[in-house]
Amino acid sequence: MSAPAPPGLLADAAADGGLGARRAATSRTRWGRALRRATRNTLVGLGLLGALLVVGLALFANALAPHAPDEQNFDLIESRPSAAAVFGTDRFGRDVLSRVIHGARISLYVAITSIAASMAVGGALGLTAGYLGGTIDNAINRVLDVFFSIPGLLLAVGIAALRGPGVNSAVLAIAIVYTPIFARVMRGPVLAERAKDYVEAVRALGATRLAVALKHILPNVISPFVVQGTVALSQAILIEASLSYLGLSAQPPTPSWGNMLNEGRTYLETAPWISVFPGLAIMLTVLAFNLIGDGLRDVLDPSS
Amino acid sequence: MGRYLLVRLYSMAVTLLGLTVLTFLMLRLIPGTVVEQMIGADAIVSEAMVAQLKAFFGLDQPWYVQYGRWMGSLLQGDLGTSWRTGKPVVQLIAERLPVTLELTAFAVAVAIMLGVVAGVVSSVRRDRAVDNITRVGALLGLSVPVFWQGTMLILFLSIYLRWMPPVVWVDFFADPLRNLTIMLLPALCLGTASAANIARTTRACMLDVLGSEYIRTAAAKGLRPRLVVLKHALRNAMIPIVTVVGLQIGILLGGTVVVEEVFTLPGVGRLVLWSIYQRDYPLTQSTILFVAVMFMTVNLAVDLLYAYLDPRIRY
Amino acid sequence: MSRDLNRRDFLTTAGLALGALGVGSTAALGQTPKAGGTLVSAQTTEATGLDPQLVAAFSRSRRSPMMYNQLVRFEPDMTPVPELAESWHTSPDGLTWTFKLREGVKFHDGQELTSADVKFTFDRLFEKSPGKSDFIAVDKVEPAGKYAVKFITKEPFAGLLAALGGFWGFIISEAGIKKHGDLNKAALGTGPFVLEDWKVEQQMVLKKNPHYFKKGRPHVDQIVLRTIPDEANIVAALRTGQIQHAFIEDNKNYNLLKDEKSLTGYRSSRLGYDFLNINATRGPLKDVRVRQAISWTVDRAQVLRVAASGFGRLTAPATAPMKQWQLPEEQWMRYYKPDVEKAKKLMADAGQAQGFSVKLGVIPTFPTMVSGAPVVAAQLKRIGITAEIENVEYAVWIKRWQAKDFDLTMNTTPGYADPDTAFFRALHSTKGQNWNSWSVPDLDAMLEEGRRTLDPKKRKEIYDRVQLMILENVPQLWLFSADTIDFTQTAVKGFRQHPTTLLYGFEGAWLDKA
Repeated sequence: MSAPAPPGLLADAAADGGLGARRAATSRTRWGRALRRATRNTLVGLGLLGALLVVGLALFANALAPHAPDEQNFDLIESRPSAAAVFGTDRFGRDVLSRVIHGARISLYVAITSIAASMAVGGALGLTAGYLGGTIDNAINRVLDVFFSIPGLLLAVGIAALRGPGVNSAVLAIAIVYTPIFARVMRGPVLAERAKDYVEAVRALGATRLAVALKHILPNVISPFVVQGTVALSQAILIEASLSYLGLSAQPPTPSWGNMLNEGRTYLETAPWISVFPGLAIMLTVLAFNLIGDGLRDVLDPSS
Repeated sequence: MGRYLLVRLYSMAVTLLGLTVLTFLMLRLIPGTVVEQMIGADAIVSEAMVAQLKAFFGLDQPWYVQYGRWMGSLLQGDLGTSWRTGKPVVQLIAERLPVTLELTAFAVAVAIMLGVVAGVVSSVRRDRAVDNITRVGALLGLSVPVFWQGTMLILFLSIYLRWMPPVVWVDFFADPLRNLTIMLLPALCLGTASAANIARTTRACMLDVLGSEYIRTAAAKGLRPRLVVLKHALRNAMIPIVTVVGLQIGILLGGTVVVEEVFTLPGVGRLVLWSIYQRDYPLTQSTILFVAVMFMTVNLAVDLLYAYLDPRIRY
Repeated sequence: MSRDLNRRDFLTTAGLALGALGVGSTAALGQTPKAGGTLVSAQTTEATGLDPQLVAAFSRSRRSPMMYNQLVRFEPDMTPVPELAESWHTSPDGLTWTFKLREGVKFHDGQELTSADVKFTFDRLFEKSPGKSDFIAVDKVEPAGKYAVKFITKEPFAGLLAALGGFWGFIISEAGIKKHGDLNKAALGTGPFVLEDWKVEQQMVLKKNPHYFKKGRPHVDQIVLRTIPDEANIVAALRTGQIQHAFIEDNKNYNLLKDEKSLTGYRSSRLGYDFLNINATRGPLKDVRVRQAISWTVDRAQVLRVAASGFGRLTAPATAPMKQWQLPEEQWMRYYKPDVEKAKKLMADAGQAQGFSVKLGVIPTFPTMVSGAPVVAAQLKRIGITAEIENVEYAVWIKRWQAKDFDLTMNTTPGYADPDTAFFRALHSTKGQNWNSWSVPDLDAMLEEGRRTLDPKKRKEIYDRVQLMILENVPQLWLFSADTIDFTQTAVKGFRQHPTTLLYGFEGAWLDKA
């Protein structure tokens, strides 16, 4: 029996996860070949480079940005890219470059905290459900089903309304959307792993359930889980942008990329640089994470 | 199979019950009610006025009474009446559901056509220029926010071609051609990311299959390459592709809100959004419930289809 | 033609934007309106319901004149003219107003309008409408024969005409309520258009009322009010000729459209204004010197430039369309010259030299608030006030507004035709809403006097003093009054803007192509 399919949410990661669990293991790729292919693959290298760049921007935003992100300059309103402002300025005369740099912070913050939280909670739930099985499995699944059965964006709308829109509402929304996904990505392989003989053997030797789960089962199922995480990171950045568009995430004047993109959308004709640069930042970051995800998949998840 | 279906239906019912509680409580926890909005910013507020309005909407009752009333009417098949528009919720859903379904269907069509073709071509021309372009294109397709894509499309078309999709909505049955012109861009935008996903899966599966013994044998026997690819390889790569397509349907259904908003389509997603802002409880809670049922049904159907396609799977 | 040119020249030289640009000339040219056709109009905001007595949202008020009429209507120059009432007079003691109704006016269901309907309208209004705040001085409404009604007031009430011609003055029919329960989804009025169909967040279809009491009007057969939440799409729809009219919310879009040959642009001063509420019960904000410091440091011209792309004007408490109540510009403008040094000194005098932190509320769906707030915050920073911008969804904002739960908040109002409605409710410390929770007893007394005074000249003197006192004591900051901007296809003639932005303008609109 195959693991139940994760119903799709707004996350494309769900698709890959379900696929990973469902696909017949017909692939004949071997570790060594995959490793060579991955290192050979300049695309993965580029992805790593891009991700490092973004992380660097986020870490050293204060040092790198020529201006404070909310510093207004009324002598330089909506001015096109020039020596004074390399990416131009927006309607408040704020430096777009500085805002893009600081935006890396917010976008990464949203992506990393939300995905880390959902991986931790979802992973733990999935491991528990899969390993213990029975009533507990059932109970966990029913609760997760409830969150699973509402389209993710609608859930996000509700959360933003509940808490008031803002960066942390977006984090919470994305985390809640991804938690059941990660729980399922974890549960399926755990079920398969638990059925193996060695688990029985280790238990017979007197290992506690917790020890078996953490020391023996987890290491064997973690790879596809991590690959999922990388891809989910890239999705989280896009979701944050969509939430910004619907007015549910970071609020002006917070310089999140999604927010800048949305604010600048109305200036596309007269001052395209306001939104083009944050748009590029989103694209490149998402691309970088996707490339890394592809590379990791080759290395870590030999089944696909 | 029958037993499996029963179990699934049972757990669906449990989930739905949980969902009603969740939705109901969440809505009540959201600050602000319809009452303050009815009174507005310009009125001199009096206790009596607030009490009168609260009583009118039944908001003066404890939450379990309100919940009980809602459940009671649900059990009688009544989704309730929208507070703001005064129309039955079921009528509002009926007006808008076809739009969302049509949008999803077209997006799925776009995704399948683009995705499968690109994936097959890419796998057959592995590591050639076409393959690389397709792969990078697929990655880019995954990297652009949908609303951004939509805005750009509308802007460029309206400025350079003096054209945009008609803004006044027309039902498919009233005027199919006009309806299709309205749907074209939204479906394209919505379908892009899914197309990219499908293309990637198709490529990977095709590569697997093309590398297998029997395909090489078929080729060695001198069958025409096109026939080999289409008849033998694609058919065998179909199962995972269908799976991913099925999953995309769910994703697309959930992702319509943004596209509906960008292109001003009168779909269910925007209805829910609006109702939440208006604190129109009956409309929000019953619509979300409805969407959830739809969502779960799609997922169930995908699972059943999967079992049907892959005889190795038995539930 | 020459008249139009003169007018334009005048507007340019005086730096004013009164009256519609581009239109107005059609009447002078004497073109005969053509009948027929469908006019599609778009706006970003949907009405939340249609009942002219139960729905407070401005989106409702804007649509009401399409389907209903008031007893009195305010012309675009804000002078009251007869509408359903043919004439009116007040009793010598000023306590009774008698309105003579126009005879033969028919509701959409064919019934004739009588004094009973007017009485019913106001009885229902007083019973269950938030709009009764407009009529707080009115004791009761009595029929005086079939075609006349009396408004009996508790004290002389100078603001009555403004209230009747305001957002809550639309006359409904008793039969309509009996038939529909409420008028949220249906409409039964005497207005130029009959509600045919309404699909929420989508469109409202209105058909010509063939029995409209103004002969020959309306000219078009049908109006479709489209809701298009994203203004970028409205701009695109105007350009591609898909819609005939749009009300532009974001003034910077004027620049995008003003040179389009296929479009006619309309820009005029608005009765409403954007303002900054200061809660006078919150910490340092209690001190009048701190409020004055805020006033001296906020550069209103800069806020206007960013929030409305400069399409608007700074305004005294009485905005430009309230012409007869306006203070001479030099009297109020001197309060608006930013003077940071003076502001810092006031802060120091108030013991706040080191500054303080407050929250500044913004409703994310109001573009001028979103873009105005960062400018205000940056300017307050100059005198040490840290204003943290807090985005609050409308439903929550209004809850807090009613509870006076804010420090500073950006705000906007469609405005008021009469200084009584404009100032009494906003600023009287006990008998109104007291927006800013402040109290200046002298001002209370003057506001009450202004309400009772029916003589225009005396009233003017009172409200001049009221306005100066406001400027001196700073209950709130009048930031700017953004221009009203509409665009139509050039084929649309006879459309008129209204300073309230209420949709009166469609009854005279016609399509040249039809």
